[in-house]
Amino acid sequence: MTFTALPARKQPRDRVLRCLNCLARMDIPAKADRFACPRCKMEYEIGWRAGQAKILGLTHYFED
Amino acid sequence: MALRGKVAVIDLTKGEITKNSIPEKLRRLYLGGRGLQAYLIYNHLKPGADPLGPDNVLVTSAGLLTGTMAPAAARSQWGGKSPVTGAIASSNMGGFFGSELKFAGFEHLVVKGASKKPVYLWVHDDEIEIRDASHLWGKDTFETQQIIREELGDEDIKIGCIGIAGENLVRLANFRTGPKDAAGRTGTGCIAGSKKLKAVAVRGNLGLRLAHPQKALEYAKEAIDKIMMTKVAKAMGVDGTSYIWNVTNTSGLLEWMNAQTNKFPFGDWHNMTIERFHEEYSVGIAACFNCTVHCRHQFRLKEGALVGAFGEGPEYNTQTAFGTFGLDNWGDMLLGWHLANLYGIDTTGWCNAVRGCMELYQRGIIDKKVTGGLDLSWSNAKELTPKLLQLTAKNEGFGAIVGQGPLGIIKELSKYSDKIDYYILHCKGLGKLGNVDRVQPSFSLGIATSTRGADHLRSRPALDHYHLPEDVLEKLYGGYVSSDFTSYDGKARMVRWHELTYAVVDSIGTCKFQTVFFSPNLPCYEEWCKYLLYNAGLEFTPEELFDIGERVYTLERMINQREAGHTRKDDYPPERSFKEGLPYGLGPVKGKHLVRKKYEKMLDEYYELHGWDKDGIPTSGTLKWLELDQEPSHII
Repeated sequence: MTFTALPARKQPRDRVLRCLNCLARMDIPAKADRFACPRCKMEYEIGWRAGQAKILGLTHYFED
Repeated sequence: MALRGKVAVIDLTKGEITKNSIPEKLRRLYLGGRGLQAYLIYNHLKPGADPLGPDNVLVTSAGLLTGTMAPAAARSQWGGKSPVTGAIASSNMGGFFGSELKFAGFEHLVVKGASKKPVYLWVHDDEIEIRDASHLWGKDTFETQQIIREELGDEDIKIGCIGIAGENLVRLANFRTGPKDAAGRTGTGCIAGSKKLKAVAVRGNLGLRLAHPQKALEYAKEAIDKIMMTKVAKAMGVDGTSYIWNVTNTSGLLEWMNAQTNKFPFGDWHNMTIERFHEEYSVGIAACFNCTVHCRHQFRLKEGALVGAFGEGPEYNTQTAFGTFGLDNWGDMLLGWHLANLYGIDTTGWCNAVRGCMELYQRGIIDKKVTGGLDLSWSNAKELTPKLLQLTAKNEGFGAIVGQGPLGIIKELSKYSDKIDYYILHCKGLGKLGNVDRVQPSFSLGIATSTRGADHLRSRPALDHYHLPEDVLEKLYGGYVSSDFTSYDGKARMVRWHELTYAVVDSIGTCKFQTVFFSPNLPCYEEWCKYLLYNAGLEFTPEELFDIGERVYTLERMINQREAGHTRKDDYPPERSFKEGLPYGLGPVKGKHLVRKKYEKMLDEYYELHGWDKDGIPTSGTLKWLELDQEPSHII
């Protein structure tokens, strides 16, 4: 028995994230560790899990 | 009918055990798991029973499909009358206990009465024995499981048990299995302790009679492919539910210092991320029964009192909980988590209680005279945590107050201020988790109306954050729902839909994380109908399942009305959510709080959708339609 989805696990939207500030979709360049939303310019620290981009946090955490 | 699965009623006062098959009528009305458990609680619990008395019941249930080939059909459910809230106790856990219970020939165990001496149940291949547990009394939850396996001579025995917190009648005590899984909330371990029931050990070799095994296998393959193609399956398979923490912390959707701020106040937030856990503590990741996602972290403690200890978890919710009151690194959080697991304490509830008391201490409402000399400063969290966990587990000193949960704390401390109820954050007496609700009306409504009290697993509309196209939302929810998570429009519909859907999932026994909880592309009603047909031979339409969800949710509501007098007044989030705007956060979050007028309108809409009156009471027409008007029917 084979599971077709298991070996591949690479998916077309692995590098697509949504901006948490303005909700626009963001295409993250491969291996980027920072990325600014093209629409609102909010900048994020980016991490990677098995080829999938993820937001780690804000480069400028909430300032007083 | 396919599948084994009987109901056993165990009277610990009389030492009697009766076994009943499950009539097909009840199957079609309640499925199994949480649904049939609500029926058993309503029918077997003596109305008005003392939660710590022999008239309370402890019901252990496997889902209808638990143990079958349905993906992630691993769940078991524990319930009764809650010692924390006085309303329904209801808690769901993963692992391997539920499937083993099914393999042993049982689906539900109704434990009544109380034993005079400590006992445990040995459930195996259609047999149940009540055995002496005197030698287990005083043992932690890890040791208890190992001793039982050794004395019964089988390493594959699965065990649910309590720790010393349950033995000492700590209301926040839980029931645990394996190194990680817990029926954590609403005090199920305390109920067990009141019955002197230390553990339930299960082992089965009976197998299950699937209705259409080949079709069940083929469809499992199709469903697993679908599950594993989602983005969330990969995120969960690597980071577990902790993947959520980065998103909520980045947005300003975590509440720190008892919801006084939504900006991490204890140093560098990087130390709290799952990435740091991977770097420093992770030793693997595991799965529950029949799960291909595998989201259970495994770790080994590197320092402190329990250096070298192996554990599993935690989930996002516990990561959040321990962080909210001042633990600022994984080492301290994991120690707290592991100690709570050994003692058998609900981490979400305990952390809620502690951070509430810490704010009272910060404001000078209570001091060291009240805490028995404990320093409840936020900066003292590291030293405080092990001490207060131990006091809680022993039901001693200030731990005896914390361990009661919100209602007990409010009762004990109200002599010091008339504002205690404002700072102890709860709904229906169950402590609120550490997530911001006040900017997301759907989340506020969900935790407020949840039948077991402030909790997200009864209705969490995580999809509300995905900004999905509104036509997609309309198709899913059957009516207009705004794609703006800060909007109130359509959110009553959304919450009610998730309530009924999760009631169905918990009754079937599959994992919520492999449902629409996390993605619209994960299995939903159409898939569950096929799971049920191929595995159990039961034919349902999606609409029929949805109606079962309504029946289960309404019956739980009836339990709460009968036992705790719950009405509309109990369907509100903490007052703080209406009064204090969030000081930080991204654009959609900063400065926001709930608006009471809009909340009231949303609550009216919610009641109308359920078929309940303006006070939240199910109408006679609703009860008749749901065939609840004859309950309690005492069929089993």
